[in-house]
Amino acid sequence: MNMRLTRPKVLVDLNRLPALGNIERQDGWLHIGAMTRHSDIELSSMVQESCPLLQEAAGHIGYPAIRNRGTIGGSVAHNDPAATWPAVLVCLGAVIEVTGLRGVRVVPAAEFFRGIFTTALESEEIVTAVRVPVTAHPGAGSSWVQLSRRVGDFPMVGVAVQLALSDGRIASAAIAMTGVADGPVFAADAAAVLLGQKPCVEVFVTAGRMAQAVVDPPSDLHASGEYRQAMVAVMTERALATACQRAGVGGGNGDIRPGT
Amino acid sequence: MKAPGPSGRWIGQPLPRREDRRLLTGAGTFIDDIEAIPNVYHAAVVRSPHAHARILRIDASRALAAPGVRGVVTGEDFKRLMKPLPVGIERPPAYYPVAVDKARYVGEPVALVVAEDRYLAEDAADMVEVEYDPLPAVVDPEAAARPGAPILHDDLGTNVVLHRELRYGDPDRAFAEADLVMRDRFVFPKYASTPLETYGVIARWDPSEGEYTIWSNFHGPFSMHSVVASALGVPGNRLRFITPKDIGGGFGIKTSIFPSMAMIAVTARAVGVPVKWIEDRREHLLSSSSGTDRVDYCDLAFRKDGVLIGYRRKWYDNVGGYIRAPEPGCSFRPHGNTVGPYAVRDVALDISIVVTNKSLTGPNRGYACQHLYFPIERLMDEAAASLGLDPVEIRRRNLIGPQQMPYKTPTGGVYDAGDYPLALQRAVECADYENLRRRQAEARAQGRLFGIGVALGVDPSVSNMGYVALAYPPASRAKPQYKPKGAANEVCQINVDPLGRVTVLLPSCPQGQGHETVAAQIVADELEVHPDDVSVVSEFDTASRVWSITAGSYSSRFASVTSSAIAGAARMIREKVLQIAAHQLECRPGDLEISCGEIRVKGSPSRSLKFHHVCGIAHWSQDRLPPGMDPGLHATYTFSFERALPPDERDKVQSSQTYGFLAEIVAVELDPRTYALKFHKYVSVHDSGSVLNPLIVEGQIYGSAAHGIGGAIYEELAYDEQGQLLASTFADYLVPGPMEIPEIAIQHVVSPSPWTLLGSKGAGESSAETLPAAIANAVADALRPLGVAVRELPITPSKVWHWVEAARRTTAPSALNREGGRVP
Repeated sequence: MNMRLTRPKVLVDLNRLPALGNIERQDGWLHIGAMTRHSDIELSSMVQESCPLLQEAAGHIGYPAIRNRGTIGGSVAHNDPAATWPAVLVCLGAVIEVTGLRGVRVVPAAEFFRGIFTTALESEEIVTAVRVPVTAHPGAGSSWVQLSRRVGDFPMVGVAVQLALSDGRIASAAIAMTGVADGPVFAADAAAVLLGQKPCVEVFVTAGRMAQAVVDPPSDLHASGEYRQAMVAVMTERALATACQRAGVGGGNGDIRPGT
Repeated sequence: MKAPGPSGRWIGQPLPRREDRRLLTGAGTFIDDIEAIPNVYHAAVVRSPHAHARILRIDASRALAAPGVRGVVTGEDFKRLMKPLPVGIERPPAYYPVAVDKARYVGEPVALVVAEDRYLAEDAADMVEVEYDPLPAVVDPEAAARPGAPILHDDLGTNVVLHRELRYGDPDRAFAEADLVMRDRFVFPKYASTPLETYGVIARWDPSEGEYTIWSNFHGPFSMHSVVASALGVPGNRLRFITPKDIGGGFGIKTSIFPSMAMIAVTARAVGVPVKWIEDRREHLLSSSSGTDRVDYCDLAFRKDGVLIGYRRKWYDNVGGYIRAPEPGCSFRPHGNTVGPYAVRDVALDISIVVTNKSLTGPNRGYACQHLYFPIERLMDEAAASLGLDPVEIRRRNLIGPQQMPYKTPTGGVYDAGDYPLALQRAVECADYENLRRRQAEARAQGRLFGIGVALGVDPSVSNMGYVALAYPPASRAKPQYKPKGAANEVCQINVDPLGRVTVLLPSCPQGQGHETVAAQIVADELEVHPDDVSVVSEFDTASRVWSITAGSYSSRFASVTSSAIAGAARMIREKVLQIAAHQLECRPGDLEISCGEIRVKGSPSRSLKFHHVCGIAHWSQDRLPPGMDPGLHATYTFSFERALPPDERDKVQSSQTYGFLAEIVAVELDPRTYALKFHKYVSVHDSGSVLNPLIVEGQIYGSAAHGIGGAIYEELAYDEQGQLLASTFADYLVPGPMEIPEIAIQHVVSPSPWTLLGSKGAGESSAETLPAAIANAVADALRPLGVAVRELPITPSKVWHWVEAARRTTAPSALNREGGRVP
């Protein structure tokens, strides 16, 4: 609006709907109201105990003044191609709660984000909440890694990883990326190659290459597409290594070493 | 209330800034805060979306019919009501504040809409229909200088608006005798300083007096007053510039506001109402001002012992769509310090000033010194690598020595004072340089990219505006119609009221530098009063103030020339007070001292008068004054530099009046895969002469370093090939914030200037001049094992990745082109 790119006739302020600002945990899901500020997610102990990836990612959005005003619902409905939340929610298998004249419906995050600034929202609908599965189980680990020009900038590349280890092997994994396409990218093949593997550098490199293979990022002032593509591999490797460490490889404090 | 320092003086003390309370509590008085005049209308500017286009037709009928609209002005009105803005070159392209036939950069004003408020004006501005015939654009200065490039100004037939070749000594001989010649092509980016407060102008035309009044956040140089008067076609005494108390940052960018002042003034006259315009951020990035981008072929000739014997540059400075005063200062402002701190005598310069389809340029903190030092300091490091010398050692071998001061440079500069080897040594010690090199060796052994960069620079302050005349060849300057100019003056007025309270009228239009604080410190020392008892007036008005042609804040001039003018005026007051007191006490003025508000006969303290009683006598009792003395207590003092002269017939000029020194050492590490940059150490040693207020100088160093980091790593007004600006918001124009600025280890070496009253020199631009080179050298040092050279800024991770990839593809990596090869 500041740039006069869009000129709505009517603006509705949702700030006075306190019900949209709640975070609740119920039946293995976190329910986060659309008007919840990024900083509320960053600072919530319930979020930290339930889904550490949300908390870690929130701390990378802009800087405190932005996090104190910006909301998760606003970010989700906007779907900036370099935004943090869409990739994180896709990675987590979240669902978006949408409310319109015909009532409430839920859309899986993987289907909600359609393209640049485009979502599954109909014209008379608003996002009222996101619902995120609780991930904080024994053996689970996650990581948000991003590469930005400055602290607080939109990522040139951002990678979210949520995985779980069982008996020293990767039992489940999800990888999603931002900043490298017209919206969040779910790297299904890269995650699939991890299953059943022991965490080691070679496995991460393979997954990084596979993640890299599914994107053809755009160039802009801040980074060329080639650089972004190369960094997808680097960021994926780093996110996987951190997530595995957090999941308890080597008793929770071990380094990830090359495999044998 | 703080007591003076051990010396008994306020100068040199870290006195907190008296301005901060109002600035930090939102109580400042900025251009947008003042109710300058009733019934003000508001302007919105229609800007060209094309980089280069002929304007075929402008239809304002819909805009004129829109609610609240009072009028629309276009290029035709400007052609009718003003002349092109003058600029000091022989054949300048006609430059009006609003495009008259063609638009020559994206964002160039094409029309203005005047309405009852800004909202209505913006709405109506969208209704102005402009028909364009788009033309091919050119944005690179070297490409624009080539035959066949799109021509911006048809009547000139070329985009090279100025070309000068300057020679000092015998550079050809030096290069013939060299053992090693380092040569490369460097590209310096276009960036700005983005002050928090954008441009703001309020203007009225009074037809009964034939007089313009312009309120704005202009802060000088007030030589622009004559430029604007001449363009507006009014005598100087029918043009009044008023600057409010506070300006929200400038950094050189606001010296280029004067065409916007003319723009709003003519709009007010054409529409017949007072008009206000506050620039928005997008307008500021699109079209206010920036430094030039420069393509620079730099050749340095060395003996095999590392001594620099020859210096040759060929550069293209890109001034954008038109050349605007004080350009071509981009090429000439640092002329006297072209050789920096090095003793080389044989110099050749080939300078082209080129117009392209980019926004216009002007001073930007460091004004061309960053352009000057980046290639020299890069090649110094490459020469050191070629000769097997340490980068510190090669510089030591070339420094001008303290015994050579005052030092005459080959290009006409006269350095006033300095001990460059001592300052470099201080930087080496402070950085623990040997240890840094050890850490580097360890890091390299681990495959890490750790680099150390050194950069030195001479920091010029107080421009002699006469340097601009280098744009004219000596033959033109010898013609009788040529009027030589050279000036670097300041005038200060101090008034003391009958109760002994002091008021200083600042001539500097400060933009947040803390001038009020320092002025009070200076006066407190001279008159032995408390700084809190000194009022300082920052508002400026050309109609009611005494002012010098070079007044204002620019080229780091406060600490040198303005401080001297304040001290000089205070000394005149002191002298008069002592004369009056001596007359009452029947002694000589020299027998008196001022202490704790009393004027006493030295050695017999019972014979004394209250300071404020003497001030009362000055105003009220002319019968008690010494014979012939005028009543009242006010002083106007002008300080000038005797060397501020026009260029001589050999193109030598003392372009600045005092010269500080900068020695910087930076240690960085690049992530070996992402090439993200991290600072390990940053040491900055400054010689800015006597330090007036160390707290303020430290703030200046942090600020100038931030601008240096911006230019080196983050900020660029980048354009695409079609001339579209790619960085028109703060999401794309990346200004470094606190997270990007490392802690700075600051040290001072003090070589007082013999030519200023307090021994001080400017410190406002300082690290902005040398830090881009120091960071480039550190990154180049980190990347040296990979065979990558650094030839351009800003250094972004993505760019470094491409440099490394390109070096990997090259079979025989060669850091730089070299010739000579006679090195053993």
